[in-house]
Amino acid sequence: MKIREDKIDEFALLEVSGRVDSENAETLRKYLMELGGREQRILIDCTGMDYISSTGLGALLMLLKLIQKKGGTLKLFGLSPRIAEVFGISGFDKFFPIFPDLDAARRADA
Amino acid sequence: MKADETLVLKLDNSLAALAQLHAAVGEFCRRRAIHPDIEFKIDLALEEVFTNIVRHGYDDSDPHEIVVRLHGSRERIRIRIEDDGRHFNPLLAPAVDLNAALSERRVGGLGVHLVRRLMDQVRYRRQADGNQLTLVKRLAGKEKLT
Repeated sequence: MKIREDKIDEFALLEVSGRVDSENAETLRKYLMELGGREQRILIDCTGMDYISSTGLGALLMLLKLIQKKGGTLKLFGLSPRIAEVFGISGFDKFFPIFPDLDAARRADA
Repeated sequence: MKADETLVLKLDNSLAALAQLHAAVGEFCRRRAIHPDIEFKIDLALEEVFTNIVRHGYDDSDPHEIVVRLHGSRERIRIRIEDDGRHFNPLLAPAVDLNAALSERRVGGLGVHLVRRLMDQVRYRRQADGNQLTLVKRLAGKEKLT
């Protein structure tokens, strides 16, 4: 798993790529909690994400709860069909605003 | 047609063994020309089961062995996971409430939910000294070896 942070417009842009499994999801969770503490508007680029299991999904869910509590925005984009299916099975697709690519995510209200 | 094949993995009860498990599943699936979508599901279901055992299966901090048997046939992949941990039947775990509001959603139980949804069959057998869980993924169409 690789995490890279950038800034685009008023958004913090976080690229999470590779394999997010239960061995490294704690690293992701800590990063996301710290990010959520200091940022209000966050985009997560999942284009290079090959894999995610329930622990990684849990970390994203915690961030979403944190951001919503602050009245902020969290959007995901670039999910591969396999990752999108995992979100669907988990019922997470109804919680997270999910977009095909960066442009769509930036343009969308919310 | 490829012959039936069994691969036996003996893993430490540590999340560090996940890399070994993932590599072995990948190699097994590629050797049998399993479609990458199916490989992804097997990989994920197996990680969820393995992680649950490592995190919740033991009352002590001693090393334990978790045995994973992958059996491939023309029709299906069968995965059997055996551990000597505390008795736990994941099929009796409470279902995840997919209709719950965000504030009510908990992450606990999601792993078992994924396993049940990703696999075609999940069977549990309580053993004298632990647990045996069997997962079956059917191969259809393009995944079936001819």
